[in-house]
Amino acid sequence: MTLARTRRIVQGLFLALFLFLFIQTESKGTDELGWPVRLFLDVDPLIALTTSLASRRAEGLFWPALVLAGLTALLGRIFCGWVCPLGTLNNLAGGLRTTRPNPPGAGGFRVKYYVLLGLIGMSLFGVQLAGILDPISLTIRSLSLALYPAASIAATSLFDAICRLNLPLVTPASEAVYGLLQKTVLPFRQPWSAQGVFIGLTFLGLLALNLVQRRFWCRFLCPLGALLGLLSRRSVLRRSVSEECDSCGACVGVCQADAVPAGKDRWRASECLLCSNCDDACPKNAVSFGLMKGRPRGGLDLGRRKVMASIFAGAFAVPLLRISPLARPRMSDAKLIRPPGALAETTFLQSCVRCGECMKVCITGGLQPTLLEAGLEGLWTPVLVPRIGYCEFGCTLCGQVCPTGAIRKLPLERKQQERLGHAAIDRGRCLPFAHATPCIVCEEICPTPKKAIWLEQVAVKDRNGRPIRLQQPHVDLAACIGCGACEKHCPVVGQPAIYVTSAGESREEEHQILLQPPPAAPAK
Amino acid sequence: MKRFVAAGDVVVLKPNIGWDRAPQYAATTNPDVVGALAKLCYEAGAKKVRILDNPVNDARRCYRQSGIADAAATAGAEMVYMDGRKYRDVRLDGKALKSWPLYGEIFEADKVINVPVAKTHGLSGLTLGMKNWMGIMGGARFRVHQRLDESLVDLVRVIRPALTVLDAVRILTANGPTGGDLSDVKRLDTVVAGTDQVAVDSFGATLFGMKGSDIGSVRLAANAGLGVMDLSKLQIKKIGV
Amino acid sequence: MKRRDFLKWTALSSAGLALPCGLAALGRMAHAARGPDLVVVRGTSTPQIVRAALDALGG
Repeated sequence: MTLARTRRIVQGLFLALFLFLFIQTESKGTDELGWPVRLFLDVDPLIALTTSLASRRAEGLFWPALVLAGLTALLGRIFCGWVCPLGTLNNLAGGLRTTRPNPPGAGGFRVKYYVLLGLIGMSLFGVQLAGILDPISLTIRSLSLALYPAASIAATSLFDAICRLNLPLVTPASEAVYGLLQKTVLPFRQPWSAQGVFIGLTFLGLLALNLVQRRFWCRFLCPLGALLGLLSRRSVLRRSVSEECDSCGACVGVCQADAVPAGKDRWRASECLLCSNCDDACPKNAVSFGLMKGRPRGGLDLGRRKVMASIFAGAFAVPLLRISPLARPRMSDAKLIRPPGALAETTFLQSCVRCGECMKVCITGGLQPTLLEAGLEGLWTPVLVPRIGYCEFGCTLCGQVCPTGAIRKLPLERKQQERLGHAAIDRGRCLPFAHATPCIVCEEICPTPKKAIWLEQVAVKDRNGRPIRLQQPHVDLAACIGCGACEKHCPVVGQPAIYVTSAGESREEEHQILLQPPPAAPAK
Repeated sequence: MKRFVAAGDVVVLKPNIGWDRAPQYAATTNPDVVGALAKLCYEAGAKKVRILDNPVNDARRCYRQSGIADAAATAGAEMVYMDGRKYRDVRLDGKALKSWPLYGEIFEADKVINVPVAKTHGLSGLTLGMKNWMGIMGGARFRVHQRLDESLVDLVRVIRPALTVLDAVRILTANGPTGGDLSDVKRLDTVVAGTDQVAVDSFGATLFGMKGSDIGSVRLAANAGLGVMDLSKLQIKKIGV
Repeated sequence: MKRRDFLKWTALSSAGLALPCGLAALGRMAHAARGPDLVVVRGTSTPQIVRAALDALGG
């Protein structure tokens, strides 16, 4: 078996592992998932680097990323060529391009380094946007918030339609297949996503760039690839070309990156993905991969001015982003309800890599990606939208899957006292207040052991003056944790009669309402 | 159980699994009660025992945390997650509800056994057997609270379980129906069983020091001739084991 | 009466007997023979009290 063939099998296995872990990012009724679902994010050095720079936190979180960084320093960009799920998807999409490859561009491969430097420049000054472009984060987010929900709704609609047709043989068979899919790959309940079209089309667009050039993303744009490229410059696992080479150029067309392997010595080690396509293509069998001494000759040559310009561009973006009024104290958007355990907003934004893991795992589907609610700096960060799904009282999964600790992993007793905000009653819409109609749903479903919603027995009159005895709800701020169960289930359709705002959230000292907010329970 | 379940029957058990709570909080039916009933059904020759509810909290969590999923597995019964396609509009022609989407299996099963837990509720006072039928309602069921007692009676008119077993092993005496505080839970180590759902609920009220007539749905159902509320007219057998 | 009419008549009348009112009465009679309307069982073993309740209701 050729090396390239082995590589394809390994790529397939890693893609399968990636998708398996993605599917497992779902509750099975307990508060554990049983699989290291964020594995790919944990080993991602770009996430580790930019998060620790931006948030000034290390907290020993990132050692798996050091493993990958070390491996890359030794073995080169094997991650890109053999492991990365987005790289493999790009390979698959590249199969759509049937015409001959474009000749390698002059310096297009350098763009990704400038992107990387810009992101690092931003993170030095406290803005973390690397997750938007990090390939692992980007892939999980696109699957979580667009492709997987879309696939689910497509499957359900198809099988429902066949079920309704009620055809002999066909319908029972399709029901059996549907049952099997539901047990294995389909989500327990249909996920909904506020940004599905936007995020999904962006992802498909990136794959479509393979029509312009195979592995367009990996060659020109990927900041993780750039970081690994920098790390790999002195790797010992390398390509070497023997004297047999007559510079026929057969390898140039098959190179997955812009390593330009044509010349014997003039090729770029930082761009080589160790895909070994050139080895396969060489008619003289002059190419081999193995452990080499010394330093490869082809340099990166990014240009000092351009390097400085990239870093400064990133740095200058910071004040522009920070003049958003949302960045002012006490100016948080009332509807910006963060997941339980989220850090205070500034550090939260510096830590969140928008990977969508929390939104994937959210048991009620209430965690949704923001658009501009948290400013441009907060694009695609998680926000709880209680009308879609409330925060389940006994669940801490979002804190468990967060790769950077932007959502802290709180012990359950502590999480159950974490205030996401407070509920407020709209008396103009509430049935017992505005319409002399009995309703106690918010009180009924309130999950705190001592209910945060209490009922007052009152006598009201209907329009005919007839007395009606009913109960009116009130919110006890000392007990309300802002989980949103009341808002979710309020029978007043559309704008609910009880709703949660972030006011009073535990994570922000500045956002308290009460002079003496209830303290969090001491850790047991 | 042979009186209620015939050989080859498909039996549906409807416990209260509405909330994501562990058994000791008495917010959900005691798993040992459900497990024991499933076992008795199989002993009586049931072909299949299916256990279902339409929980308010996440179904996966409710089934697991209530302990009922484990009890079902031990007894060989099947936990059924509600399938949105299996609700069907049932004509009720009642005082409050004209028709409502109800879970089809309740009507397709050979036998249905209602297995509620006894606890307090902000609106109905208590939630017992009749209130447990809210767990087979689809649609915008939280609207029902506007005329809860009448709605329950409308449901009871069409849902006729072979048997009702009220779990009072632990009862929830405050902060119901969700609970969450052990000091609100009282241990009675009791079950109440009968074929008349109104009678079971009427007796259930006495466990809380109330009377059947204090519970709106019991009073209305008795008036509608759906069962007997007056305990003095019933033959009640009390047993200590 | 012709044989066909006789068969028709018997079929109809037996169907009539089987109408709900007839069934309910039969049910009540059977029920009276079966014992208590309600069983209340108390005991520390939950599986045992469930079994005892079902036994007392007539097995």
